[in-house]
Amino acid sequence: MSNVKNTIFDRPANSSTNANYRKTTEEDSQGWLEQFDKFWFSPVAPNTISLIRLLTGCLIFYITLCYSFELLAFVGPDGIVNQALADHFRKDTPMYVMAPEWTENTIEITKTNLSWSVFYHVTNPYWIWVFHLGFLTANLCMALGLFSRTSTIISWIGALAYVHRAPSGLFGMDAMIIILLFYMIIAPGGEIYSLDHYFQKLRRKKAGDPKWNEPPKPLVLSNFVTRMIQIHFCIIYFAAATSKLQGSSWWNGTALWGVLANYSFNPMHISVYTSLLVFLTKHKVLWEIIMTTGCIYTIVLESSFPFLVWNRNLKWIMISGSIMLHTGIGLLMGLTTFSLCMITLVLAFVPPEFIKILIDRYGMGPFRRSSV
Amino acid sequence: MNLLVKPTHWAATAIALTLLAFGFNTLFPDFVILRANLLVFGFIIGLSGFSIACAQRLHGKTSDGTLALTTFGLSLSLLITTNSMDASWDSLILASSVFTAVSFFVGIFVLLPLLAKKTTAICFVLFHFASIITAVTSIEPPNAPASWLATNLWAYYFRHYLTFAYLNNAYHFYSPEPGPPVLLWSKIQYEDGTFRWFKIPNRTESPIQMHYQRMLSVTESTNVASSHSPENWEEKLQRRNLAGLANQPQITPLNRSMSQSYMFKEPADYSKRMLASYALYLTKKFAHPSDKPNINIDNIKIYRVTHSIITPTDMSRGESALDPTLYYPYFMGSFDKNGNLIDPNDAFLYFLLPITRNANPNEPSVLNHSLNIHAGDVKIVPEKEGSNP
Repeated sequence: MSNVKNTIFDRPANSSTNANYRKTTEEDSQGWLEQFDKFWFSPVAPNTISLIRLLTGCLIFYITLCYSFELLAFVGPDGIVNQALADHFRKDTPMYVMAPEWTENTIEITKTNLSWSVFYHVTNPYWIWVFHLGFLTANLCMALGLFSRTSTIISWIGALAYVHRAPSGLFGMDAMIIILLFYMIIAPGGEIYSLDHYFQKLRRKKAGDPKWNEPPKPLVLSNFVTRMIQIHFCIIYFAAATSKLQGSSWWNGTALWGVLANYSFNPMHISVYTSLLVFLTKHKVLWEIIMTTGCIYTIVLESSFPFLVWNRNLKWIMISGSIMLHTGIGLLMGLTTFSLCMITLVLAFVPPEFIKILIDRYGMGPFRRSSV
Repeated sequence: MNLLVKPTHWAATAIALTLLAFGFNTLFPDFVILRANLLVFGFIIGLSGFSIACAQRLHGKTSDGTLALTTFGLSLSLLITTNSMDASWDSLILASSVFTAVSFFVGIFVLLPLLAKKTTAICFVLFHFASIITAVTSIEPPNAPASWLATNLWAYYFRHYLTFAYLNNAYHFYSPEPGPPVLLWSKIQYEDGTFRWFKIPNRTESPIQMHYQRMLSVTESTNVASSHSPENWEEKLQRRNLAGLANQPQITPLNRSMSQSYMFKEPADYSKRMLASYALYLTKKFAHPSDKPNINIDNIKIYRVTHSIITPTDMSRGESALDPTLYYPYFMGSFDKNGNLIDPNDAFLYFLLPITRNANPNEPSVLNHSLNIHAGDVKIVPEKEGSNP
C-alpha cells in the first residue's frame, strides 16, 4: 500500500473506486487525457455535495438572519453607507491601471463597476423587509433542501444583494459564503439529505416502485462541482500562505501573538482567556514555543495543503489539520461563522462514501436512508 | 401527467407573467409595485421550471431538448424582464441582462454533443480560475507595485465577472502582518450642550457576535490611507502644535522626530466619504437626546482610534490590554447634522491626539488624555469599553 503511486489527478472525492487501491495500477497505465477526463467527469455519488448544500443553507440562513438586528443600518437608504454614497461607489469611482509603457502613468479605464443589488433600488423600509424575509425563506428552503435549485439560486442572489449594497460591513466570511453559494447554484445539491429527496422517495414508494429506497445515482455534475471547490480551496490556502510569508512576524514567530492578543477580535474580556495569555507571557520559553509552533503550523499547513491533499496517504492528515486550524480560529478569534464556512469548503475533500456511512449511522429524520 | 411537473408549462407561465409586466410598463408605467411583483413572480416561476427540468434530466426522466426548451423559455422571460424595468433600476437591468445571456448559453450548452460539453466546461473552469488567480495576484506586495500583467488582465478581462459574482477576494488573511484593530469613537454634541459618546465596535451593544464583526469591518473601511503626502507638512505640524498649546488645557504637541505617517493619517477619498456617510447615519440614529425630542444635533466629532496590541513584555508585567496609552486616536473631523465636514482646515484634522503618561517614575502617574481634552470632556481617565472615554 505504501508504494502506491499517486498523481495530481488522484481522486480524493471519487466514489466507489476511491478505496479500491488495486485499481491504481490500472489508472497509472491510463493516458494523461484519460486521467484528466476522469478527474473532472467521472460520476460521483452526491452525498458530499448535498451535505455541503445543507451546511451552506444553514450558514446563509444564519448570516442573513443576523442582518435582521440592524437591517436598515446596512441596506437602508440612510444606513452606514447611505444611498448617495452607494450610488457613487458603483457609478462614479474611477479605476486606474498602469499604462503599457515604461512610465509611472496610469490610465483611467472606467468609473462604474458591475455591483448589483435589489437594495440599491428598494428604499422603502417596508419593501426592504419584504425582500429580506423573502431571502430568509429561500435560505431556509435551501437548508431543508426544498425546491433546492430554485432556493439556492435565490439565496445566492440574496447574499449578493447584501454584499454589494453594504460593502462596509464585509469580512472574510462573506467571501467564503459567496464562494460556497456560487458552486451550489451549479451543483445537484438537493439529490440527497433534502426534503426534495424525501418527498421523491415517498412518491415512488406510494407508486409501488420497488427501487424507491435506492440511493441516488452517481452524477458527473457532483464530481465537477466538487473538483471546482477543491481547486478553489487550494488557491485560497496557497494565497493565504504566500501572502503571510511576506511578513516578518510570520517568520520570527510573533504573528500569532498579534492574532491572539488582539482585544477587538479575541475573547480577552473573558478572564480565563486573559489569564492564559498572562501565564504564557510569564513563561517566555513556553510562549516562544507555542507562538512559533502556531506560526509554523499555519504556514506549513496552508502552503502544503494544495499539494499534499491529493495524496491518498496524507489526505486525512491535511483535512484534519485544516479542521483543527479553523476550529481554533473559530474558538479563539470569535470568527465562528467564517470558520464554519472554511470547514464546509474543506468537506469537498471528504469522499461521499464516508459521508454516507456517517449519516446512515448517525443521521436523523429524513436524512436517514430508510426514513420513509 | 400532473401539469406542475411539466417544466415547459412553468416556463410558459413565466413568459406570460413577464409579458403582462411589460404591458403594464407600456400602458400603466405608474403601477410600479404591481409590475415589480409580476416580474419577481415571473422570475421565480421561470427558475422553478428550469430547476424541475434539471432534476428530471439528472434522473433521466426528460430529454435534453425539454431542458433546453425550458432554459430558452427562462431566457426569454428574463429578456422581457430586462425590458420591463424602469431605467432607474439600472443594477437590476444589468443583472437581468447577464442572467438572460447565461440562461441562453446554458440552453445551447445542453444541446451540445458530449465532447463539446466537456470542452466548454473546461474552458469555463480555465476562465474561472484564471480570473481568481488575477484577483489574488493583483494586490500590491509590501513596498512594491502589483504585477503589471495581473492588474491589466484583471482590469480588462476578469474584473466584470469577479465583481458581478463577488469572487474578487485576494485571500490575504492576516498578512503580511496581523495589524491592530481600528475603532471609531464619536462624540455627538447636542444644541443644549449635552452630549453622548458612541463607539464601534462594542461588545456590550452588539446583539450578537456577527453584528460585532460587521461593526469592526465598518471601522476598517474608514482606515484606507491616502497615498498622497500632505502639502505644506511643516506648516501643518506647526499649526497643530500651536493650536494644541493654545488650547486650555493644553494638548500635547507632537515631536518632529516622530514619523509623519505616525503623527498624521489622512484617509483616502473612499474613507473620507465613508466617514461623512457614517456621520450622517449617526445624525439619524441619535437625532435627539433620549429625553429631549426638541433638541437637535449641533455637531459630531469622529475619532479613528488604533488600539495597539499589548506586547508580551507589558502583559507579563501585569499591564492591561485596555491601558489607555495603547489607544492612538486621530481626529477625523467635526461634522454637521447633514454629514458635512465643518472645517476642512481644522488644525487637528487627521492628526494624532496622543494619550500618554508622565515618564518620571518618582511622580504620581498622571494621564495626559489629549482626546478627552480635544473633545471637551471633563473626564481625564477613560473608563471601560462601552462607556465614555
